[in-house]
Amino acid sequence: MDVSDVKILILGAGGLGCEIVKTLALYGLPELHIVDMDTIELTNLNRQFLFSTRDIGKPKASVAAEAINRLQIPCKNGVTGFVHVVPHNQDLTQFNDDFISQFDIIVSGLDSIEARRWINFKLHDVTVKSNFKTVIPFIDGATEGLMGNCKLIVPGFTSCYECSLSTLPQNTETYPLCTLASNPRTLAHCIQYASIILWPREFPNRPHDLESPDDLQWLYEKSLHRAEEFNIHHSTLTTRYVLGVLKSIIPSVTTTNSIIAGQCCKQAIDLLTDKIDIETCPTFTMYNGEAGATMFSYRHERDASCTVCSVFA
Amino acid sequence: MINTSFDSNQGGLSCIRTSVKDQGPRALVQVMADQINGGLDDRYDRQLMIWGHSGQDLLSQSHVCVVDDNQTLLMRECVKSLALMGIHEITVVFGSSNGSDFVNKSNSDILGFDALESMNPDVTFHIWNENAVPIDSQHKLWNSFSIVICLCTAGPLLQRVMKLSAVPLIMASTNDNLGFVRLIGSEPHCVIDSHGHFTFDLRLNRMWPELAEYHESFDVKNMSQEEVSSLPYSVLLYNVGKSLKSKNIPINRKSVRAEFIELHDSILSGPLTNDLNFVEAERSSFLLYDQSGPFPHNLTNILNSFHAEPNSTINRWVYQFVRCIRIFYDLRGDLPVSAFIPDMESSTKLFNAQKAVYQRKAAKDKSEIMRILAKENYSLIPEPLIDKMLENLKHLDAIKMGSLSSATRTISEKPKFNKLLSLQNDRHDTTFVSPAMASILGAMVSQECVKLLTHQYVPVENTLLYDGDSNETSTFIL
Repeated sequence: MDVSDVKILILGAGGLGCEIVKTLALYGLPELHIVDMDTIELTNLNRQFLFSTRDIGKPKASVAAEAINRLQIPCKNGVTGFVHVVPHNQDLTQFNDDFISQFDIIVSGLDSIEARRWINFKLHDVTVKSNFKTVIPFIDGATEGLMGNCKLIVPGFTSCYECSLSTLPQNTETYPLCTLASNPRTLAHCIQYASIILWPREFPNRPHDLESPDDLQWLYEKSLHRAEEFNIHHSTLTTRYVLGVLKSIIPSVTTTNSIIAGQCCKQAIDLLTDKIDIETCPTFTMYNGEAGATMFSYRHERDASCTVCSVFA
Repeated sequence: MINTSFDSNQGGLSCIRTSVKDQGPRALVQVMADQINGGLDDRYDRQLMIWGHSGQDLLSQSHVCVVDDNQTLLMRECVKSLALMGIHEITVVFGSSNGSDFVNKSNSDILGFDALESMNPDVTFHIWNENAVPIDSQHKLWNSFSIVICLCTAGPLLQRVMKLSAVPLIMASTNDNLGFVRLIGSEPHCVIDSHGHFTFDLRLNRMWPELAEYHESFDVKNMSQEEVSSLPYSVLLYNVGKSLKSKNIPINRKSVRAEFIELHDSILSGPLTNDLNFVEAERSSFLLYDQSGPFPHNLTNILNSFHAEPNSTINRWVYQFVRCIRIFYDLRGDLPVSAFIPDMESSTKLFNAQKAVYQRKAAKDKSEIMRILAKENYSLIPEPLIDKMLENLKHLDAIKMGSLSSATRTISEKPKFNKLLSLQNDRHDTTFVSPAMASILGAMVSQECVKLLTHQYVPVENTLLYDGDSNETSTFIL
């Protein structure tokens, strides 16, 4: 493939997205697109290095694109001009088929499983509809704490994102109602009681909004009261603690993002330069940095009953 | 602030803050206290979930030196990660031949120093040309660093680094699709918290009198259904164990399960799966099998790793603490009890009562540990660290670091590693590193650096080879 005329779409301008767009820009690829519908927050800055405190509140995709475009990074591979990044501050599921079909590769660093499922479905759909004229490889990165993975999905050739859904951890913690209602023993029980039972009783017409400091404070006070009432040790209870229990916040650090994003970009470049054979190459790479730094790769088997990719079997 | 030269008249040496390892115990008492740093919380929130305030506080007092002949992308990626994670002070020493364009070119560079410096206002940078740093490897400047990261593969700068002996050293390089990271140190490295998975030990077969009394206080067979439902699973387990013993039936998975069903069906109706405390009890039935509490191998490993008291402060504290745990164990025949027990489906009242039994014993054991520590003259260990280690007995560990003398040894089982070394020895051009390789290796280097600084998670023991052709790593001792 001719690398001088390559267009890559990057999904997400968060921890992985910033790393992906930086690394691909350093390869001097001419045109990169980046999509994200979020705005920048202070808690992003320990890893989303294209942003600074001045950018808080601004759209991530625009600021990331501007950070790269401003530097005027020369294109490589015989192309004149600078690397150009096009931002899309929007929900990626609003992209139509024509827009998506213009890209050679899609690299994702999303934080949502649903968005990944959508693009996975869309790319397989495009492949079928075009009768294999348009086959866009999808490289998906994901991290949590010191662990991460990188998945290479080529519609029709490899297993797809949907096939690997069952390998995702199930981290939804649920508690029996009787524990919350009559036998609370931990702070989490008190917080869930405030959230699931007290809030709807007090505000039957609206769910709580964890972005609202007032709502959070209300939940905190009710949780604290509950903990006091049941003699549960509460010196660690803060609004941050309440948020941590009610909202699944993923631990994240720059190193893991850099490793997984680097892995995604390496796969993208290897694909563009025909270094790997998509019919036989390993497709999933798993990384764990908690004890040593372990990385291994294997070819994920296609799920024969997969609702998305079994049409190709 | 960027210092572009090393000048002791302008405060050069004196402005370098002492690194954590050289600070007196008093400073570390603060560090270990897990205090909340208000404003810092939000920026580091997502990584505080990984290593906590105690880890972050150690980073915020560290001074890391990164040495590289050329200003490679690998070095920039490494410095970027260190800066973002909140290392207090970063000194970059670069070779004299390529230095000058470094700062000049930085404006148009995505990972230039202007960019790196603006990434985190908490970090102080120093950029030094090799001609400006002391030639003597024993100079106190070198000892003021918490860790030195060496990315050069040849030349006078490497020769100088190879003479450093007191400071932990990380060496790394990459060529084509291969990269390696090696951890070098004059003594083993102690881990305060490996964050590994483990199961609670409730001491159900090694009870102290109060715990036995508590468990004996329930006449389970004569309780109402409601009362039985409010019991923590440990009480159910205890009763099953006792009943099997009285019948002289050996305790194993099958016998425990049968006994559980019998106990359940004699009091409650419906399937066992309807009663959460029974479900939990069955899931934890292994707690009945474990007859003895042998001295854990991770603690033995720490004691065996050192021939003398460790030099670095935290290593010394961990070693001293584990020595006292061994003394305690030899006296009592068991480890100190943890104050933390898992949540058990039960009434609040019974759970709190049971928790209090464990907490009282844990407090008593801790005070005995404190007495042993004082008797051994180990009184400098900060109490918050003692609490943390008591909580983490199964997560303490020691790993062996590599030595400088073996730094360039080849090994026959690792042809790719030998290839990498030979490329270096041929003074192959290492200035070009692919952006992806730099991103991966630079981050791996800084992650190992942070593991060493925080004494959390287990560092590589002691050489890591990353193979970009197969997308796999392998670890070996060199």
